[in-house]
Amino acid sequence: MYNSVAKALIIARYTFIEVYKSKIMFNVLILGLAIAVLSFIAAEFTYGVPGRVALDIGLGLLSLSAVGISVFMGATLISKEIEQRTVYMTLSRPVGRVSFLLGRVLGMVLILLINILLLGIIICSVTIMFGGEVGPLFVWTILLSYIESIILLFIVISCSLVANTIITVISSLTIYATGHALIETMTFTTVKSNALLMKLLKILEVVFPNFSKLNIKPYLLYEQNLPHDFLWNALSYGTVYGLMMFVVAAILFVKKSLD
Amino acid sequence: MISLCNVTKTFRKDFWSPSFTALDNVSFTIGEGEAIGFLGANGAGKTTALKILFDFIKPNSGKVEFSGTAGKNLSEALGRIGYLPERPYFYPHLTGAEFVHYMGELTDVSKSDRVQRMQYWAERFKIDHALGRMIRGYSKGMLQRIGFVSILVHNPDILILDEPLSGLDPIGRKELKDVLREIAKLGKTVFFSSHIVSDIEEVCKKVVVLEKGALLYEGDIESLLSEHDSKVYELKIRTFAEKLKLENEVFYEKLYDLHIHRIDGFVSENVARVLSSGAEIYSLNPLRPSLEQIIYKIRP
Repeated sequence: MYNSVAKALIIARYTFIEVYKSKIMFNVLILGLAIAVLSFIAAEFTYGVPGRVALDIGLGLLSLSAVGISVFMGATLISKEIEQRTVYMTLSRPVGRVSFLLGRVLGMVLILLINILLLGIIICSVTIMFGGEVGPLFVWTILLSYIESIILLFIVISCSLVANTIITVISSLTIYATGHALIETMTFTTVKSNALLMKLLKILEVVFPNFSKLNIKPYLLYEQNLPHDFLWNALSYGTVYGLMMFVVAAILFVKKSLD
Repeated sequence: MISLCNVTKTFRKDFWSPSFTALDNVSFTIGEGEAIGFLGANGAGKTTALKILFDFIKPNSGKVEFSGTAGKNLSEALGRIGYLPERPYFYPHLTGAEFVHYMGELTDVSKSDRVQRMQYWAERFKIDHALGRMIRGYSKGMLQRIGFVSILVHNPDILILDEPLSGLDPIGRKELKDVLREIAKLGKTVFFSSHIVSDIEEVCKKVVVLEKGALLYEGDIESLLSEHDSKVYELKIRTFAEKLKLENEVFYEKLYDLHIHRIDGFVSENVARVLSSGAEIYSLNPLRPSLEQIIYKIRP
């Protein structure tokens, strides 16, 4: 067990170096600049709440960046290894398939963390610069966005193990959109009045990730307050769902024929 | 040490298409300390057999057994094997040195040993000048060379190489064959696949031949050669005189001042006859078929 984790950490370290050197972090620089410029422009057109506008734009771009990295980098994280036979080099060493997957995933999770942390600091600075306030709920929002991007990464990896890159990207984005829209859809009157549709949505709610549970941006922007139970519940849900998705990805990878 | 036992593998392109057999009940053994060539045309099933050996794909039937130096099972064997796949492609944004360290760390090699071995093998494979460069800038031959350094960094007892000479220039091929011979002399096991018979003949003592997924031959190259020895001798005589009449002659050709006779069996009277005629014997050699010719001959 210790050896497997040690091997996973070695793979994670080199995955991080590899992805980091691919200049993915330029994304942070570009988005940081975009946050500052867009916030400045938006502040010119708003009255009274430029800080809130800056926060809204910043968090929107942060989500976009995290989703983009998860989907587009995750779609090729393992499949490219198989296509280019790099996986044969690693798996012909005393490394189990689960360790390999864990290592690759941890490397990407670290990239996501740094991306989100840097953008979080930029958003925080710009918001304060425009007169906005940043409280503990901001940290929770960033944390839950991070959890959301990790869940999405695991979903993307699972899809990439059974489908090609294009189908993986399309299906992952569909799952992402569904995960955000499911709860909202259940509040529609037409859906509420249709028992069969409601039942179907209830099943989908269990299967699909409930991303709206992890999206607390509206509360941050308009209420600045949420009960701790809700936050811990969201964090637990995200962690458990993420772990489940990793187990699914691990099972698929262990069973996968690497030809 | 490593044995493939009655391995059969079929593939199906998609659900509707019929399956084709890539390996049909194939059995062979990689013995300890042997230099073995794995020969077969493109698509004969060599890479499929290697993928099954490393459990990258599962066979439909049959198994792979490990014993001796290789350990009891695959996970024990992996630390003692250096495997280089066909046309390897490594992480483009890592430097050559980083990739070698990565491979070394995965096999628990200490940093000082990694550095020392990397330097040694990088110099041997003439890639030391590019260790600090990103792999994405490497040529095909350089990729192959850094691949070799990375599989030797943990000083493996067994080398398994899939088409290792492809992508190398003639000098690179010679250098690599020299290294493989050197490694084999150290008592390590070398098993490499190729579709080029002469490469295998130069390095290996044993050969495993696959033909359309079936085992054609497994054994010593020398035995195979002597088994199919035609016992024909080629006698080249330098004389300006007319053609000499020799016993059991099966072929004759005149090339400038050389008279080339092929004789079935060594007939000492022929030599005596040539010498007494005053002609000069230019050469006398047994005319043995090459391994390539024999492989073609034994194909069904």
